[in-house]
Amino acid sequence: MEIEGYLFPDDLYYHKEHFWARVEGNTVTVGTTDFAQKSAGDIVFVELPSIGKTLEQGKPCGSLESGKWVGRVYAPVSGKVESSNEELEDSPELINESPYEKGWMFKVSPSNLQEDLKNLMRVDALGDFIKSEVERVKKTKE
Amino acid sequence: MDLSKLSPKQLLEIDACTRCGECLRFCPIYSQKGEEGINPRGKIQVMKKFIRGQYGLWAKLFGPKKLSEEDVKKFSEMVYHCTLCGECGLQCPVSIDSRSLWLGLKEVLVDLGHYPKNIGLMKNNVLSRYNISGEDNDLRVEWLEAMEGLPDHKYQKERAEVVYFIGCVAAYFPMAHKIPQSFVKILDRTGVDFTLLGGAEWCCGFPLIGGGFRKETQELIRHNIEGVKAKGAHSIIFSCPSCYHTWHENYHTDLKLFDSTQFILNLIREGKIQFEEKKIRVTYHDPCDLGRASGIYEAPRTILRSMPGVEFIELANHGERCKCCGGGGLLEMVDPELSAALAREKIKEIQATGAELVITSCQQCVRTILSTARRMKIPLKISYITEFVLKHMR
Repeated sequence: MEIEGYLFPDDLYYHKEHFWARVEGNTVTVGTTDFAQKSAGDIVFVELPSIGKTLEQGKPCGSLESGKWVGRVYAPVSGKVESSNEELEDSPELINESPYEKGWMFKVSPSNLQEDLKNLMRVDALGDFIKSEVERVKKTKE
Repeated sequence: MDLSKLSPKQLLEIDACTRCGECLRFCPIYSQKGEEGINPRGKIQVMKKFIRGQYGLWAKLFGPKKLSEEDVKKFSEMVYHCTLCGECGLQCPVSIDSRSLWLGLKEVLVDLGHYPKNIGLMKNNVLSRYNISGEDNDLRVEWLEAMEGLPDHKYQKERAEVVYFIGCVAAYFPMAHKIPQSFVKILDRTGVDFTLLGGAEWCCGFPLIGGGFRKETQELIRHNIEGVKAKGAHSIIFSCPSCYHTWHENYHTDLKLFDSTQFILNLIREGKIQFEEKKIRVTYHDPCDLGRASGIYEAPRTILRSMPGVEFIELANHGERCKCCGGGGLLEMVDPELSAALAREKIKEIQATGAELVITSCQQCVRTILSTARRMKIPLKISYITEFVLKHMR
């Protein structure tokens, strides 16, 4: 679905810090949204959590850098990191080019999935939230 | 216009400029902009005109000329469009210490209220949060969280012989986190009794001095010296050449100061660091604040030459003649496009060496060169010297 010109696939869960979670069996793949990558601009560096690290939903677990902008990566679900996208180390621009596919960040073995999913948004509930975020970002750039 | 910000020597230097234009051949800004005003000679000539209008014969006979807002604004643009690389001063036939002069001119402009908005925002961050990014200062060691096998003290001990001063950029910009992460591993593995200051480390003051706010640095200087002394340390090591240079020039302390390359070289000479042979062809970029500003050229080269299998190739412009990468002098805050243009020139020079990897000793050079290469989609590899040393350590 497209909201305010940004793409949000229907099958994902969304965290309010602009990270998405794709649930496939007992693995959750995580990445950042089209809105976040466009707001950040050219992403030139990404620091991801190491394999085996325990994550807590909503807590920072890595960081992104685009020129003078620095942002944190937040875990949309709790669990243990299974793997991370090693291609991003040399090619962080994949997040800009393909935020939902090639630009995925890491995979988590969730520890409290059903409860965590209740705190995430589905695409049909994103409309007003994204509109307010677009306004917020516009104001910070002014 | 208050000239008390300039020393008598600097006033003489302004007068001594013969307009020979030798500096134009070396100024990286002039090479990009090609404007007479935005270069060392142009800046000095405008200042000379201001001084004559305020204090010259005309001023004595008819009173000082009123400074036009438009003229001061234009002058501010000239002065702040500078990387403080210092190459102009090195090449000047009458030995004008231009880097110090540009800092003095910024102080004059701050007094007149003419400085870029972003520089003002940065100043507020430093004075209110004690770091350039405006984040909570206790997050200065957040990069430790990505490390595994940390000791219980997380390198923040009550007392130690040596303090490792991280600097704001390596602390707050993820692209530079590998620098302190690799350096603490080297220090740990070689048995150095060191500590970090954690949230008690404040900005060294370099961004304030570079922005024209020198007088605002006194509290930072006092706090940092007290923090180091409270640890009982006799030495400080720096991975940021701007912090190192600022401490050297402005802190007036009996503490021993070491840049990371000097400290690592000592560890190699003491036999505490030994290398595995790994074949790789590298080049080295001299950071302005380590090279021209601090005179450290040989330590990094000696380290690289002591590493078996490392083939070291110089850049076409190296040592005293090394070109600024574009990341110096707060230029990135004032004119990011111009900063990137200088980085593009640097990248071309690196590529021309055929090296597989460029090594440097400055976190800001790493960020400027790597982020520009990535925007240009050039697969250039860059490494801070501590990362390279750690990878090759036996």
